[in-house]
Amino acid sequence: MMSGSGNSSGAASTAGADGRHDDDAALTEFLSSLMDYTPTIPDELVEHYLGRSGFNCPDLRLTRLVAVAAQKFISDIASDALQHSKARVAAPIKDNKSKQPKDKRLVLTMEDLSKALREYGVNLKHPEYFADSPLTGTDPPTREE
Amino acid sequence: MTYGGGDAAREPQLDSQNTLKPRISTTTNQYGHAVSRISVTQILEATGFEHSYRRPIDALADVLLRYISHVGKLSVSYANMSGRIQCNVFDVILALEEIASVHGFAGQSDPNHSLSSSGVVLDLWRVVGKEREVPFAGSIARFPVTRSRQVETSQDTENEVEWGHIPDWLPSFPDPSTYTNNSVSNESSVPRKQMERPHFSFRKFFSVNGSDGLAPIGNTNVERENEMVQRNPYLVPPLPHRERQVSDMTIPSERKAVSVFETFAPVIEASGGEIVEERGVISSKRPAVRFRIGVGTKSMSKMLSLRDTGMKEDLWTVKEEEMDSKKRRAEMILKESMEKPNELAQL
Repeated sequence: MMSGSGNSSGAASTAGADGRHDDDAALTEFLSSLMDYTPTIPDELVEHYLGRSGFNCPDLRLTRLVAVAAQKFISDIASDALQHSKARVAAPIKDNKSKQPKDKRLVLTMEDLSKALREYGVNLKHPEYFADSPLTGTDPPTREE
Repeated sequence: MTYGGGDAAREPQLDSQNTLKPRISTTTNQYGHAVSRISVTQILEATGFEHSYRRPIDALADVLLRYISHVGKLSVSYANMSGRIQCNVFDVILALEEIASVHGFAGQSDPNHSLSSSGVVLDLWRVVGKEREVPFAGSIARFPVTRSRQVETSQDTENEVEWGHIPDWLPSFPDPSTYTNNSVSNESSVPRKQMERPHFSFRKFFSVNGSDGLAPIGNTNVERENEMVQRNPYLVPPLPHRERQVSDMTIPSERKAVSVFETFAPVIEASGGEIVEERGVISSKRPAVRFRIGVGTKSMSKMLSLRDTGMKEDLWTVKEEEMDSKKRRAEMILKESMEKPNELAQL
């Protein structure tokens, strides 16, 4: 694969053509292998939301490609959130007087998720408390307004 | 169920009971959101999470749908930039590279790297090849499901000809007999519910000679038309010259002193008053009609006063006691004409 990328910048040669041919063959093989793999995200869901964006392609392999890409994206976020929750569980307790054992269950919380999503450019903010009115917590002058 | 604001895009709304609710507006969104929530749960389980709260799952499901839409939008834009409307595998790879450029992928630094062997493709290949396949739990149908509607026609479709180039939602053509130029009466073929046609055609009615090129529609009774023409005197054709004798008009050729006596001879006869002068017999010719234009109005009292003072010499002496109102009026006219002999020419 590295030879293919290096040869593409040079003049067209038999080696370069072979490299490109290899690349195309690899891609073709990958696309055909997609049909054997069933992604976790169903094809109908992906097709519907792709269609809403204007994506028009009758080829099912492209739909599978997007489904696999989305699955990989979510699984990456989940694994990052898992790392954060494991770090939280493994963190030493400051209060030594607490006799309660640490909860070793791995639970996905909004805090871990927002930390994981921040690296991917998604800002997820979770309110820390619930208020009766939207103005609760604001400054008194603005509240009076 | 109340939710707090998940991300900035999902703004809480107040419903009728003043509880905050997330904005999941359309039915299609709810269905898609539910399906993606199932997929996200399966992915989390495959990753290693045992438990989770509800809100992070909802947030991840929303992120998944936004990701799919984002990939589609980017792919379409790359295809459009290349002058295509159908997306290519390379359009999808370029879109995936753009999304992954935030995080970085292998080969990103090389501007001339091959798309077929791009880092994103390799990563995906790794997913397909190595990771355990977790199919979606259950099967779903294609959505949204479109209901086939019965096209309602506006009119009866008894004699409907299927036109290939005319869409069905347009109203049907009118009955052909209403616009064809057949001379045969088609009253029997026309249904009664349609608009009633007039008994006669206007063109035929107003055209005297010849035909106007339009054949009459329906029953055209020529006798009935003639009868209608004769009934209306204004529509009678003009008579030819000298068909009917009309008396000639006598127009005075020159202005001369008009004898008042001659003019008002019939009035004088009707009054029965004494006439000082007697002229000849009234000619058998019709007297010319004279219109009084621009005659100054004089009050009756003034006329009477003039007569009482006797300023002017009357030609006739009339016995007032014997005259009735009609004669008195005639006398007034006479007096008036006498007092202003100059104005007579204007009569």
